[in-house]
Amino acid sequence: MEINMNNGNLGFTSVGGSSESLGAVAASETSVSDKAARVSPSLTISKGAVALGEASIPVDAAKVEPTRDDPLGKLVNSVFNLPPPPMPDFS
Amino acid sequence: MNIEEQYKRLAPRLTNWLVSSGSSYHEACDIVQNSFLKLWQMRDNLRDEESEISGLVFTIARNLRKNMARDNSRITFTDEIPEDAATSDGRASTTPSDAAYLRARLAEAFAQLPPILREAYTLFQIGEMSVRDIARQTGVSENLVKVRIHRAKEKLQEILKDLRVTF
Repeated sequence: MEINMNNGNLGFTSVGGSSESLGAVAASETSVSDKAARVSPSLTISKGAVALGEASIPVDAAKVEPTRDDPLGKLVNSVFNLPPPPMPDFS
Repeated sequence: MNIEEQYKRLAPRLTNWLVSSGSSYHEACDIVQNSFLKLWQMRDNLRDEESEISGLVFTIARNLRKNMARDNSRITFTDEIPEDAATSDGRASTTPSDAAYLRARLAEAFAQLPPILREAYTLFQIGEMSVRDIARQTGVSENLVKVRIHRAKEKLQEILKDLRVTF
């Protein structure tokens, strides 16, 4: 399935421009995971609840500042862009 | 604290975060309004810091939702959102049925994430909270929040790999 996000609008019909698959975007993060897999699982986290799978922190992922501007993020924000309810009366 | 300004700033994020987290649109609207009324009642005890207010209103909303919906796995998106609903920035959805379909697809994808990954990602992406504020709110380190966001993205991209986005 192909989704157009032209000027922030959603559609299913291609209007040209470059295209990028969500799967392809994961490439950079795949390398993060690959590196993470080689990290020793000896690091423990003392603060808060941590799932078992998080016992080893992928060092690279922890260093990289996440971005909201990737294709997945743009898609999410275009879809979850609903209007808020009217402001309640605060008087 | 200027409650009207805070409402304009935070209500769209909170509404969409609640919907992305499994609330119906109408339920999300009720929770948003009630959350801000509770915030207003607490105004004398609040410092005028944006991150504190943001974190507090999301926490209030989360608690209200727990009280309102005992079954958190309930996902109800379609047919509850008016098809002609404008987006929060005033634009009309290009194709409402397409948006509803994608919303349902994303909701299903979010539902497949472990709760801690879903929370980190949706607070960051839809709630527009900083890594620091998410860490503070969830009681884990900033590094762990980053890891959770990255892992959530990886899983979402795998789940949604059949979608292609054109810009």
